[in-house]
Amino acid sequence: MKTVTKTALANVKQNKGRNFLCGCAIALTTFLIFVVLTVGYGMIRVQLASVDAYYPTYHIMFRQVSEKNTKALQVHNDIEEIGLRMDLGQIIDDDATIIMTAMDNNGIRLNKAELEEGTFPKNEKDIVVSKGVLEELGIQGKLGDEITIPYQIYEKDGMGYAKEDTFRICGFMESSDLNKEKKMYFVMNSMEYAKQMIPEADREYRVMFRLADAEHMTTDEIEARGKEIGEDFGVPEGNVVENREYLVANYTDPSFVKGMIVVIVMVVLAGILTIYSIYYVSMIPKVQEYGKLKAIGSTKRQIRQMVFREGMLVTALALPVGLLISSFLSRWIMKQMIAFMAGEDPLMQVAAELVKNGEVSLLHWWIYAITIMAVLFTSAVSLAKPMRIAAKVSPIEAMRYQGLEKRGKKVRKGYQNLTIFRLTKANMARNKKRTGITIVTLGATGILFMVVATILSCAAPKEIARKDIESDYKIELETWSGDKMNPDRDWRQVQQNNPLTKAFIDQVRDVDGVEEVKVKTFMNGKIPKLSMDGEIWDADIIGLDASYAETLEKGEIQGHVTYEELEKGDKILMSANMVYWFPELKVGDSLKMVLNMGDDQVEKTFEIGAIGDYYESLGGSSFYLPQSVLEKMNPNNLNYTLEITVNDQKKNSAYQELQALADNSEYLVTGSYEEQLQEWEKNMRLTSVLCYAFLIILGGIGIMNLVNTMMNSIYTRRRELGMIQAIGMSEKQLIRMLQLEGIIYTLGTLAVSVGIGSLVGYGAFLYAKTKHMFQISEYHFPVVPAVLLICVVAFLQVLLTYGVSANFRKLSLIDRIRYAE
Amino acid sequence: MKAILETRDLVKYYGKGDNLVKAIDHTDLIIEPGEFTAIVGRSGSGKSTLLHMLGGLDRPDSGKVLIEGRDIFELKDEKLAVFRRRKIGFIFQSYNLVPSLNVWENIVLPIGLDGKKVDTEYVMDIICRIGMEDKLKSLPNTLSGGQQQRVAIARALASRPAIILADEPTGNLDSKTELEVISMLKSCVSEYGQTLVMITHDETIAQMADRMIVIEDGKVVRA
Repeated sequence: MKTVTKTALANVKQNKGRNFLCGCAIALTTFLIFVVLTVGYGMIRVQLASVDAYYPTYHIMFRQVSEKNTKALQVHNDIEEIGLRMDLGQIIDDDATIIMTAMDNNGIRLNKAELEEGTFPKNEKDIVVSKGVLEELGIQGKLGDEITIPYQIYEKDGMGYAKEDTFRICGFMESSDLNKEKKMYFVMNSMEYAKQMIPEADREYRVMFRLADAEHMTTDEIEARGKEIGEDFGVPEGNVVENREYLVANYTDPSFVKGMIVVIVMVVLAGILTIYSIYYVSMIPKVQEYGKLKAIGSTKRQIRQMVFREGMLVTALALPVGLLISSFLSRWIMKQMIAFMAGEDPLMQVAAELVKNGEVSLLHWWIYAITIMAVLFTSAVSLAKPMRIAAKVSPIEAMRYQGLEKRGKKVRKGYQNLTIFRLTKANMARNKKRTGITIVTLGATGILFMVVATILSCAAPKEIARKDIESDYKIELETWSGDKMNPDRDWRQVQQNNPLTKAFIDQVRDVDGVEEVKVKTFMNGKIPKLSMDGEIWDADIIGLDASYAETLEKGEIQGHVTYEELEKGDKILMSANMVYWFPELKVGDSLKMVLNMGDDQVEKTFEIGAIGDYYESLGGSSFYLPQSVLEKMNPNNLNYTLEITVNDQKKNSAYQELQALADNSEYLVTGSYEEQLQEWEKNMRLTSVLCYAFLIILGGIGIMNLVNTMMNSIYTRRRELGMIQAIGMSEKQLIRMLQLEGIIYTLGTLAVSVGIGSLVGYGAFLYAKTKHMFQISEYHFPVVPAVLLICVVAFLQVLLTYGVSANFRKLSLIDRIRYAE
Repeated sequence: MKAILETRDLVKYYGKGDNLVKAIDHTDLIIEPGEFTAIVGRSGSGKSTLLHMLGGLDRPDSGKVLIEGRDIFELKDEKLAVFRRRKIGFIFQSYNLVPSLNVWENIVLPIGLDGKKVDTEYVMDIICRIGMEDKLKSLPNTLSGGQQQRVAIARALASRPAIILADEPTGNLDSKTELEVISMLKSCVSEYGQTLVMITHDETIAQMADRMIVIEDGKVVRA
């Protein structure tokens, strides 16, 4: 072994204390980087795997594609895999819709179609049914049985004459609750049968395909490419359907990656600051030694190498320890997280299953590689300055070395009378840089802690839940538009046959425990002038009664308009969300809207009376108007939401009755404050646990730094302290002085953490508020976390002072004086 | 005259077996008030250990050290520290000033540790004697070796101790400064009526003392 390496190795052993602390900091840094990467990437992978397991895997589907175009698409260069589905007709039944469909093998795979038992159709007359279908048709059957079914074939201009045919049941698929509820089922025939029944010219396929090279594309690019191909084959945009869930889960999310990078950079910075500070601080007593090495002939380069190799040897020992610990712990952390998130989310349950069975590998060689590189980088950067300091020492200077302070200051004002406190202050002032570095390192973690604590405390689940839902219980219509399969769901239809009738509302009022019922009405349409990405913007208007007048006015942030003025029908109150999308909109502007009135439309121009910022609970709409204004324009039943206040004592029974009432119509959905609260509490709990766990580990790195600074500040002054004791300082006074130093560190750290932390935290709150993050709106100072932080830091300091001074007192006074002589 | 400083059968050994070092081997000494005593001996003869014992910095294996007739090792550590700062002034070879304090603060440090008010007139008198009156605000690292040692002497005198113990105070100084410092120390001590015990291996300096004690292998061979 070369002399330099040997010396470095000897130094590792000699500076046990410092190197142990350094090792801890390195191991913790390793742990954090590794776990952030593993868990972060693991979450993406698990989500992806569970989406793969749960959703169809095609990227794009074209509807109504002719046989000719289908063939052309099958050989298209940009398409990697293509599957076909053809709907051939409907089974004749009194009340249920049973669609006969056929898929080729690729189609079955891309659709993730699964059977409860049996196989997919192999022979021409094979059929896959579900128990629900058989029940609807009132026939019995098991695998292999032949059943005779009456049906109508889809033809160019509607449905053909009734026919009948006999099929052999080859498989059963599941019939879901949704199927039963909507009375809509599918059976699957063979492709041959479908082709035989429908002449080539009439065939219309649904073509599902995956694009080639999609791994490198974003969601938007995939969609755009899909539309392009569609255009080439004359598929109108309305018939191009992208597989949203699948695409979103697979081909995003750049912001997640960015978040991970930010976290890792933070960890690396904390690591650098700590390791650098440990080396910097403990370099002071070593300077003489390096001076001697220089005196006997070491070159600058050799000294630099010695410091570097010592640090790297420690890294080489600590890094594997960190990797080992984190490898074992990350699977456990992952499991806990997913178990926590699983709850009732079917996708997350799939994810939990995948992780449990070890189907998603969490440990990847590249995560090890990145972690190792990041940690080596951290060590190397941390060592750069200490290396320079050691190399710069001149042998002559080293022998007389008194400390690292520059010889800038020549005089000190000083005090007439000295006390222990003044003595301590003088010493802290001498090591301004060292004191500063320690306080800033420790404080930085504290600031981060306070910011996170502020956000978490502002995100009070009770408040948030209240902002999501205004009353105790809500019964609301569920409508959507543009669904050809469910045209009845369009609000234009529902308002003509609205289940929220006066009679229904009276029924709700009569439920025992219901104290108040407020009705919100709704009207929609388009704003021709405004469009985004080629789509004309929707005009959603919620109608509110006079009891909301105050809420509306309070929320106004630009301009001012009263409820009475709005009632005149010329002005409208616009949500601040609109300004987010269309910043050019201002108070006083005119907006022409085309509003839906059942099947008709009406044009109406409003002046923007004011812009207001409102919570989701008000309805989350773009515009608000008095109910009377909507009623005047549209005679249909516009009731959309019932906000129900329930007596606390009777909640359980009332909720059940209300649910039962709502269940009478498939168009109604319900929600309660309690449900909303639970949801948020669950979300926030996980977020809090994760955030605080991360901060505690980061804090751990900071504490290594504190221990080192305290130890060094005492050990490097061994002789000085011994000398002051020789001229009369008692042990008690010495301990008091050390405690005072500890207190100054504590106060400094706390001033930085709590003081600056609170300010930055408030800034973060303002940011979160404008961005509507976690629905935050009111500032709550994080009292409990702040007190906890103060207690923990103070306790640690006291503990450290006692530990270090007890250790120091083991040395006899003579040893202290003799040190370094 | 009654002895101000006395040792009775003082013993301090270091190590064991073959490595046993008899630093102080049954030593008896008597020093009278106002005396300037030089302790002379070769390196490793036990001079420094003896001085540390006299000052109560280290505890002996057996025997007693009496200061004004009182056995200092009967005192607990805490009391001993207080006793030390009131009765004894130390001067070390390597000055040992506190680098973060200026000249004035270094000098009044023992008074501050004792919780007493500084007798400014008295301390200024000492400072004028050592010729540092225009350097009061200077930090130690701006002073020369001789200047630093003069500050250390002033520090030892400032709390008016009865006894000054000096461990080779001029070991780091050139011969001209050395003589200056010693004459100054001697005149101060006689002016303020203090007792001075000084370790040295310099014959010239030893000659300036009222009395010379020679130590060899932990024993007094000539008093």
